[in-house]
Amino acid sequence: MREIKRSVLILCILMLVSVHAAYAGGTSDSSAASTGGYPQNPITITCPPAAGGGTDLLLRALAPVLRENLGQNVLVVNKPGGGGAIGFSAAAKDKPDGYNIVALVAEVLGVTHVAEVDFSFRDFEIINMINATYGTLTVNAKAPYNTLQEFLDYAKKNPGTVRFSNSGVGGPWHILAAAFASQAGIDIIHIPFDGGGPSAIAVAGGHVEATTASAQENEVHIKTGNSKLLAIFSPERDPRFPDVPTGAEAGFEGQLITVFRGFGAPKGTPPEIIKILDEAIKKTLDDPRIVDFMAKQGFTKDYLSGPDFYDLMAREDEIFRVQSKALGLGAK
Amino acid sequence: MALEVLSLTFDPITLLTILVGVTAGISIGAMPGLTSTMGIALLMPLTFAMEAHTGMMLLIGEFVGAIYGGSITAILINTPGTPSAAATVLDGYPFTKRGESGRAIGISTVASFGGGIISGIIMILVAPVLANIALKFSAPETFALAFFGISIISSISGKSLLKGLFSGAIGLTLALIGVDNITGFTRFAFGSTFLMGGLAVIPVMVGLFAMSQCFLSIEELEATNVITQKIKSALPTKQDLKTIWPTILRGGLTGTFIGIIPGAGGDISAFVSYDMERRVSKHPELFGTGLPEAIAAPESSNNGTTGGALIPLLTLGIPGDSNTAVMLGALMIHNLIPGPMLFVQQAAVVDTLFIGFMIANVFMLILGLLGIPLFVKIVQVPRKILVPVIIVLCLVGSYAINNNYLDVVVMLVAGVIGYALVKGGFPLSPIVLALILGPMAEGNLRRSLVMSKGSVMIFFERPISAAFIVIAVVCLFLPIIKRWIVMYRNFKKSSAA
Repeated sequence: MREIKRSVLILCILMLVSVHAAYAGGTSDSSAASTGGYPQNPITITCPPAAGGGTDLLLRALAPVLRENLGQNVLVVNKPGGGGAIGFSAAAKDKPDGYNIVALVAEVLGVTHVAEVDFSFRDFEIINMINATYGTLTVNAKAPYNTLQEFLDYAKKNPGTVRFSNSGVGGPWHILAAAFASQAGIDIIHIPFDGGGPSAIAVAGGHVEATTASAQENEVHIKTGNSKLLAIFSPERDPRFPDVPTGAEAGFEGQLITVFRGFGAPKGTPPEIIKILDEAIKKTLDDPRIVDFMAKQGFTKDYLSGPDFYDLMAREDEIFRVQSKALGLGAK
Repeated sequence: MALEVLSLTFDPITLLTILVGVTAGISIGAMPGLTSTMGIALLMPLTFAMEAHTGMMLLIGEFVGAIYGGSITAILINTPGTPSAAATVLDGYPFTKRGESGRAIGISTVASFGGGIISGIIMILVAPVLANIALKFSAPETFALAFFGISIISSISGKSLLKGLFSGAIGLTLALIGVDNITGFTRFAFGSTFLMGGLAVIPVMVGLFAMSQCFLSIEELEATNVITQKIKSALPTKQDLKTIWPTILRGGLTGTFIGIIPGAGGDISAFVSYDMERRVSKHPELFGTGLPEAIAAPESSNNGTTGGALIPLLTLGIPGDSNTAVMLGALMIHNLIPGPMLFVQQAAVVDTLFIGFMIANVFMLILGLLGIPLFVKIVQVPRKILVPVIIVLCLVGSYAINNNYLDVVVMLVAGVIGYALVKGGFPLSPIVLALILGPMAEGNLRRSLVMSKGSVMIFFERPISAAFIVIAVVCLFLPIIKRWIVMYRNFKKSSAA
């Protein structure tokens, strides 16, 4: 018995020593990073959305090519829950050594206006934006209106009866619907679903009148003939739906909500590392394998530099703030 | 055309992929904490480089295998490997306690196979007709289904209905934690970002079942396994097959139907079939003591959902459950746009998927039956070795689900609470059922009322929702009405005499 105790003790000491050794190794590596040897360790990308979703798919396709461009392994770690809050909160607290980066998706704006969270997009060094999706006005295929204007006329004749499904309370499609309704002067009912997929199904099944969910989320139902797309709230026409007008073309000059996908790093990550990451990601986006992947899966390439991406978030964060307050959402 | 399908399906690479998928699925399903959905999400990037039909077969194989695999751990160590196997624990573990774990796994394997094949046949024959059910389902229907599901607590409460209701109330309370999904208000989070997201079902389930079981085993750690597990034959006996075949038929059909419903998967259908079986049984009082039909019902039903969930996915692009929701991404990447046109333009691929689905079920049957002697050995491992291994699996599994350390804490707390509840004679299954159905019932109740501008009539005006509510109410009051009838008869008899 005593012998066992002794061997357990020795084992514990050995483990402690090895953990310390590993830790010391880690710190010396990261100090080397700032002097130019970056990257020397594997890089972890925190993905706040769950495995299997659009952002996760894109990251997992980018990772192997990014690995070639950086010369280090790139790992994607999902930290789902709380509408992205858990992942962003954890990522903001990661070590700013360039080995921890995070996928910045539109939820980083929305969730901060609904719940008490300990982060905002300002708590990250912004690397770049790689993809943007825009909301739509999608209605059931059997509906009597065929243009955005006809829809508005219908909604004005029937105030308080038109129901809009969205992907979740305070999320981008909810805020877009609210901004759309207030600028168009129509009175609508918001119905939050658990995700863009279910909100698109609600329109396809005729359970609600309209949804602001993206063209990508509605695509399958448009192709099966259950839903129709009246307008896309994007700056330019979507190449996959060349016949569908943008919101502005359809007579609605209003605010845009961008459902963006980009990258950030914890505050304090050295600017030269941010630059290396930006270059590597840019190169990855031009790789023929990635170009092919994104085209097949319906991801458009919408690159924005770090400062431009920051300005976009700052502009749209204000829309989220105003609309969330008007909707009386959450604790704030 | 037929030749093309055959050459696509019986291509050695396709067959090998299906085998790999099913094997991976069974292993993932059997590990507490790793779910079938997670397995599909992790395997999906591998399919990008494959041919469309091969890639999809890997995922379908994993799906079929994992839903079955969960029952192995449910039977052997009283821990559902996936939420779909939560109902299998009820009667599966009593078999192991009796030393008949081989028989139980045999029944589960055959039932899973039967359920899968039934759903496959329905998928192949009437997919387009049935798919429209999925479009008819919205918030009111889903609420009605969840309402019916919660009424099942009365069937899985074991000896004391009161204690079962208490457990159910714990589960519903836990389900309230987190941001409410209609108004965005944060409930019971105490300022924690982690709790804001609500409790994940997996860590709670692993803690309640597996961890508490480990604590119980520690009490008798020194005791050697008195019960030797007898494995005469892996195949269920003729007598068992005779008992379970009507069950498999009912379970497979119920599972297929529930699989079609968007957002409802194997976890719910397993409980519904268990409940149904108990109601049609001649000896409902023996449920929970280890009956063959009580394993066959949830197992045929949860594998029935596999084919069921694929029906609306392929015909409408509406995923029938969380597994097929992930598969939708894989379909799109291979340019297989779901819908009626898929069956015309890509008929060869669709037929290959259908045949491949059947083959996956056959592989699952063979692997399951061959594996029984191996699986059963797990129970013969001395507790001193088995218990620490299970504890490690619980820790790893609950971390792996969201890569969050706090989920491990949730698992441990659930383990301690589970241990106390078992000691107090409280059943654990109602907690899991309520935790799964609570958010579904609450969210859809409120969503429906927003849709109807506050009128509760929405639940009665829509035929499917009205039907579920009527079934739930009848199920709840049937035992009371039965008792009245018996009392009335006795009264008549005594007054006549």
